[in-house]
Amino acid sequence: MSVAALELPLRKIASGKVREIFEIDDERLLFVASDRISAYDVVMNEQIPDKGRVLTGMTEHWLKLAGEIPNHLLSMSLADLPDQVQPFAEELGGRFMVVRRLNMMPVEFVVRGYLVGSGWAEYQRNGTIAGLKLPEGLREADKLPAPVFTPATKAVTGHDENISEKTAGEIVGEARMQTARDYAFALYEMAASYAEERGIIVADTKFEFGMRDGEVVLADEVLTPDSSRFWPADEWQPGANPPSFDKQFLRDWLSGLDWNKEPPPPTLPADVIEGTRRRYLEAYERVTGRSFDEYMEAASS
Amino acid sequence: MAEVWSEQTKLSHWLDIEILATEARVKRGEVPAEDLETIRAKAAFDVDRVKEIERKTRHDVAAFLDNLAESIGPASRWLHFGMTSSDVLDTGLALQMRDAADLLLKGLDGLIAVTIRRAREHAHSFMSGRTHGIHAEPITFGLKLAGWAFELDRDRTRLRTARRTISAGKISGVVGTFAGGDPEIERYVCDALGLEPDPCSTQVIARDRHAELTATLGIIAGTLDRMATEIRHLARTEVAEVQEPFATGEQKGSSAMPHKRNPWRCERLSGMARIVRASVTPAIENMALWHERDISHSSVERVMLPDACMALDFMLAEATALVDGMVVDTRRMLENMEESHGLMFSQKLLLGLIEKGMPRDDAYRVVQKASATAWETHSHLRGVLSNTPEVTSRLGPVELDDVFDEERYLEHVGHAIDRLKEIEA
Repeated sequence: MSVAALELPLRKIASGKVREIFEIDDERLLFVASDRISAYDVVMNEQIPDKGRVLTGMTEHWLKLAGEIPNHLLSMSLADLPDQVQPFAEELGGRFMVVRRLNMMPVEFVVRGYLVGSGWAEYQRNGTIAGLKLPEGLREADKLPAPVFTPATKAVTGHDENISEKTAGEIVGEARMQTARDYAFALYEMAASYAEERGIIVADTKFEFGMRDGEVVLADEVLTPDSSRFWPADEWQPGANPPSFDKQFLRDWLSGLDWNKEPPPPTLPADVIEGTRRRYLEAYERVTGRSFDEYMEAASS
Repeated sequence: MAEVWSEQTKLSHWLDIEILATEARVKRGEVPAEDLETIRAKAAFDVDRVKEIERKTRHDVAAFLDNLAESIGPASRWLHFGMTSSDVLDTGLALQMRDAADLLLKGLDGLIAVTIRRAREHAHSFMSGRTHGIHAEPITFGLKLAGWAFELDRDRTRLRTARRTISAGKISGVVGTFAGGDPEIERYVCDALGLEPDPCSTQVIARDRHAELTATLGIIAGTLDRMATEIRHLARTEVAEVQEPFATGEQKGSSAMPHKRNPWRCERLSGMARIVRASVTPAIENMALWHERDISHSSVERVMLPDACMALDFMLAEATALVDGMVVDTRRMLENMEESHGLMFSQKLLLGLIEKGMPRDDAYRVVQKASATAWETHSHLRGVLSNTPEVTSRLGPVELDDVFDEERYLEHVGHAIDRLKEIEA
């Protein structure tokens, strides 16, 4: 069974392409990752079973490795769901997090290790990334000499807009920005080397931070295929955008269709759904070294 | 509560009243102080002995005084001096009713607190609102519970008022004229007991006061019955949205059918509410006593006042446990909403079409027809609308999605939930 949009007996305070956020009380929120999938910014009508669980499981995995960096996770145990939500425990298992409520910073903390996407576009235009001068002659998907921080504003609608580090400091306060930026670098470097040993390149990723009691706290999903570009290391070839570890299967199928990439999306056939699901489960197992069944067993206790 | 209505308590009140009246007379110089000392030192009664004497006297207060005389001796002649039995009986009854009201108020406080807590918990638990037993529009379970909490708060206000009304005593003699002693004695006794002197009694305190209390008990029972009846409906197999607390592994629902989890505690509440309500008519009938009193009220009160108070006391404790522990299936509530195939959103659809310029009656007919199709074909109204050109030409897919969004339907539910803090202790 897959989960599109859950109606829960709690006040819904935000609903994104993939995730819903509910209010438990003044202190706590409930994050729920659905199985919705989007491609080219269009949400598909069908869901990828267990995708929300994979994303949640990966976030859990990275938070465990994040060491001293404070994060918002309070519990993933079914027993900590409020009573009125217990009837939904079966669907929620493995896809929810009870988290601390934070004052979110309105900036996305993006770290890039490779030249791709909007970074590649800027480099082609100006020879820079986030205003930083780069060596000449780099190719698309080249590894950068060192990871760079390219903050962006969170656009309410449409695409996020890249901003300079200085602007980010003005928006959230210089000291907070620096702390969050340093956390972002540390997390990216930890994850990149960890994943590389397992044959996965984390090309870039986006973090979100909030404030609680004067402390900068890591929030939202962390280093998931939805917040990051994961590439299979053996298919990486500078000069071309490598396939996405998780979504390539879907994108390949979509590109064979005569679809203008505007809603409504085409209907996904069962084999595309199943193939995409397998890629997500594989991503989870490759990254964490743990079987998805094992994760689900822990999640339903 | 049983203690409030016990013979022992009743006779203790009588003794207090008799001694206080004697004290008042000592202060007025009408009775020697040493006799009061003797009375205080020796006064003792025994419930069984009073009963034994009463078999001869066939008069309860007379038997009580005879029993006191046995322990006190000659000084007992000052007890009950210039008083009538009802001075003792009605003043004593006022004390019992007041203490009973205090216990019931405590019970209400507890029930209100629990109901508020659960109302807040379920502020966003969507369910079908039902009128005539038929799906109407969506509500939340918290809204239903908030309604109960506010009603219980009104009950509390009623009971506080009734408590004031029944807190009246009298030491005004056989027909309320104070022929047997100065009104100062009544003032003294009532002050000491925390009662108001009845400003104009007859032989008795007028029974409108007792009727007010009893009617209030009946209304509170009515509230509890309303709550119990709601839970019973929501517990029916076909609805299954709420269950009574059930001790899994211990409790047995039926001697014959092991699967049963019956709402028997709610049923008992409904049953006991009938008993409490049945006291209300006799209490009002008690008001029309002959002239300066007859004794037709007495037999009624001996049964119905303790019974109604004790039943309601138990009911309040029981209702508190029920609301506290009831099992709410929020998921089933959502599933049941689907049973009417989106018809609950018909009004929002109607208003949407009117806003888009359709005449009201035309819009009504379009929605009525689409609703009938949805109902008869067991298909969701949203789907039927997609094939209704009168609708699709006016409302786009996003606008239609909004029509069927419970969240938008209930954006003002928070209003009632927020106001719960006004009635919080």
